[in-house]
Amino acid sequence: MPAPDRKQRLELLQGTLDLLILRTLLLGPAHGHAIAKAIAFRSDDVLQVEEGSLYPALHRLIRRGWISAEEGPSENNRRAKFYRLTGRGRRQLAVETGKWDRLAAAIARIVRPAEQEGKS
Amino acid sequence: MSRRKRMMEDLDRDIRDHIERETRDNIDRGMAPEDARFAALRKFGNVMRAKEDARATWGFLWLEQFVQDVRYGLRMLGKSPGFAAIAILTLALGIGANTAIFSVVHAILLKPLPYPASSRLAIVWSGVGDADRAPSSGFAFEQIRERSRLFEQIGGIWVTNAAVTGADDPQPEPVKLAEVTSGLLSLFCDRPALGRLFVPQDVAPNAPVAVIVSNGLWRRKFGSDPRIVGKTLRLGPIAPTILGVLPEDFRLIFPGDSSIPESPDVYVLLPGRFTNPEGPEFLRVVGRLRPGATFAEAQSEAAAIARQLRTAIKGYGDQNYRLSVIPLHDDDVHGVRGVLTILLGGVGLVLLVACVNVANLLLARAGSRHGETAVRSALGASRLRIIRQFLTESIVLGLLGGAAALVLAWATLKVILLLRPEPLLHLGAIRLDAAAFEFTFAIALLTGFIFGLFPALAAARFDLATAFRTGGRNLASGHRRSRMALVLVEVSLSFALLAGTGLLVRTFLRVLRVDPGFQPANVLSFTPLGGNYRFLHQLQQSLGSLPGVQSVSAVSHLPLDESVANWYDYYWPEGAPPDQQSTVMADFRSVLPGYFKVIGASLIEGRDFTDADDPAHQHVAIVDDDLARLVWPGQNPLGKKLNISDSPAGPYQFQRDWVAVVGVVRHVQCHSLTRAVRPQVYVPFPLAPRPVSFVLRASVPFSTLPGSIRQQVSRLNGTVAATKFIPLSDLVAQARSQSRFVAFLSASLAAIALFMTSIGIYGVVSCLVTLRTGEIGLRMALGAIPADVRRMVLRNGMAPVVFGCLVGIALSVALTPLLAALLFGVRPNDLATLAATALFLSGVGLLACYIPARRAMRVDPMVALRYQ
Repeated sequence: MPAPDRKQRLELLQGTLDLLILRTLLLGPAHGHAIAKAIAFRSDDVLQVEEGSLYPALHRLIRRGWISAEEGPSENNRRAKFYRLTGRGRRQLAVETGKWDRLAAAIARIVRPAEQEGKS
Repeated sequence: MSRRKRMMEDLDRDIRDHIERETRDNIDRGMAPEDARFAALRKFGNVMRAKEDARATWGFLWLEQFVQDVRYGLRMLGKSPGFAAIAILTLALGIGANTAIFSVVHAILLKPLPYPASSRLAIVWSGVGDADRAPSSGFAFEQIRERSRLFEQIGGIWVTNAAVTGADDPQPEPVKLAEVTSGLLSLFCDRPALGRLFVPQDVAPNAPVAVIVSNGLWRRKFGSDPRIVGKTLRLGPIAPTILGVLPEDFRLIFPGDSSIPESPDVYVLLPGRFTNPEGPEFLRVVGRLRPGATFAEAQSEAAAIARQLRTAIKGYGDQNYRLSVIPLHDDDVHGVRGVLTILLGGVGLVLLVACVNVANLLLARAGSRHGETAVRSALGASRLRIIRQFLTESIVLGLLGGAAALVLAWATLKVILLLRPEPLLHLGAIRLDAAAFEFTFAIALLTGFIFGLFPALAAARFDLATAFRTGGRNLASGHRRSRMALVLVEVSLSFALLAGTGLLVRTFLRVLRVDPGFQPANVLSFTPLGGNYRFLHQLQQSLGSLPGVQSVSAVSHLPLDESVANWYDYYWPEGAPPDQQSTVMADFRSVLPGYFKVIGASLIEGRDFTDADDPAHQHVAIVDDDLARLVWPGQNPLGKKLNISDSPAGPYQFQRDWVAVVGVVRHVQCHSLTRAVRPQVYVPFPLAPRPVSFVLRASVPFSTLPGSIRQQVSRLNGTVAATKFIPLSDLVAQARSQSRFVAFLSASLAAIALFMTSIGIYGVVSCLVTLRTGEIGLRMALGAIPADVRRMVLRNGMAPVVFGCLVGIALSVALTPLLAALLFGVRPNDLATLAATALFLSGVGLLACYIPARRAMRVDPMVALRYQ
């Protein structure tokens, strides 16, 4: 699978990593490496999470009570730490998604006003 | 701690696990195992950073890092004990001075007075003629008490001398006797230690005379007798019943110019009603406002009362009678507030100099610590983290300095109290209390932050690559500019302090040279308690024949002695129109013949009093030259008539009287050495009998005199006690105490600042020489002679000193006018003082530069170049 050119990869906006993690965990519990891979894969490798920054983010979300961590067997029966979305995390995801939509729409209206008009 | 450890292990395993998975994925994609692991690590990024950031979300990381930084800081300080000692000493001096002065300010300006509802206490001054802070007559006091709605309670007091004889101890003891109205004591005291306070019912026309005594007198004179209430004591000729004993810590706090001592021993009620509107003005009046009433409201009510009295009573109208209501606490400190504010400013400047100095030291050290900073930064410490670590170190330093400062402040307070600055003493206990500790802690934290911030920012703002490449040499020289700037700041702050000190010291020198109008040397005074004119006359004769005593006389008010309530009143010359009578006042003194000769005052014209100047003959007075110039400019005052109040019928039974001027004497400074307060009128004792103090000019040591004086006194009258033996020179020294105190303190502050500044200059210049050793060696190898090198170093070192002096001049011109109220005989912005300060400071700067410059001259080019 050819990785996109370095220039086309995007640095994550501050705070969006939290949203991506929550969204990823909506599909089910996962360990750290799986989360990083899922984010890269689902964005066609455009979004490159610096994997090191994933862990501070995970710990931050645990502290806020949006996700929880538990020990469990992984695919090949090795012990691994799984992260799971909590009820509060689920609600927070809805809030964050709403915020993201509004933000994206607002930016789009500014950056591409003509297209917007064409559509409506 | 185990929880934290478990979380860290967890995190480690998580990250290890992550990298392993990534490595396996990479191998699955066909990478070689080595490359696969490397790629995984690269993709992960900075492991340490990730760990630290993750730990930062745990919450206690901040604390953990703080503890780490504190320990690291202490270790670093331990490694350079010289630096630590100088920095801590500098801070201790700077903070300690602040703590000491703060303790004084807190005790005097900030603490509420120790009375019930003290924030509602007000002092009520009468304004009559040209005097704004006059006492009230008994009549006026009663008018205020009856007409005021805003004072819930009001009382009056005046204090005189008396002798008390106790039950066990027949020896009469001189005491301060306070005559009070029934409402006074309960303003200052919730409840007595024993018995009760006065109540209005005690003022019945034929009630027995009763007294309340101080705790001290009760212990001294009555052996702390718990059943004292109801017993009697002997107070001169009367034997009043004791109603109560005041608490041990009871004291009266009145403004310095009110002549109310802190702890009178006996309190007695003033008799009945005062019906004479023109009666003597002697009462100090204090009242407590109703809850909710403001001082402004009370002031306008008092103004209305004064207006009513002016219209109702002609004499009050003539004198433009006024009333002013001032919060007691404010009034109490009005004399010292200026001094304290200026001292507080002075110690603030010293603290700034200390901060700058320590910042300078830290910068020098930051230069030599570049390697350490570079390594930490390369290992992944963020810039913020480095700043925080440097700041923690400087705050630790600040706190250590603060701890040392407490010791220093304690010692300083001892010295301040030893200096006995008269105006500060009666204003309550000055000591290091909880507030002083809190203040010191806050100041230490703040200074740690202030002096640390600059070097911390400088340490964090540098280029890693350059630092490694050059071994830090460039970096340190980059700090040179900042350090020069700091020296400039230091010099200019010290300049302002020195200039202010120069003015205050010159003031003190002028005060020392002031001619008080009399010659205090070799004059001893003492105060006999009791005795009539016959006795005083006999005593004067018999003391005059004591060996070594040249002359003897007596006066009602010793010059510069504020412990006796002043006697001042209106006077007017013959022919003054009615609207100019009762407008100007003079100080009045009752004297025995020979007074001027004893104290060394000069009689300019006319004659001294004689024993023949009594009520039976022509009533006469002697005036001072101020009054003569004021009233009869260009005329001969001798024989002119003056209207004054005297009391030939007995003490305090005042009447208006015409007296003829028989002499003019030079003005005697009797309230202050630096201000001429009022002109003086002297009347012969028989015209105004009242308690007097004796003065003796003697050629023998004073220590031999009290014994023989007491002997003479008791030979003439066994019931009279001779007390208060004070050399007149002590009274003069006391009058100088404020300017001496201020000059001494500011000189100490300036010395501290100067010392720090010279250390700062020396440090920077000597660092400069070290850094440029190579260059100097090269120049000398190329033919420069040592004198050239010295010139170069001096020029570099003196630049910030010279510019600092220029800035300092501007600063002084802005600041020294604040000192105006404390100055005498010299003006703020005095050119000579500024010039001397500049010269002196440059001299000190030159000296501080010269030592390293000499070292530079001795640089051996060969050694220097090899070292490079």
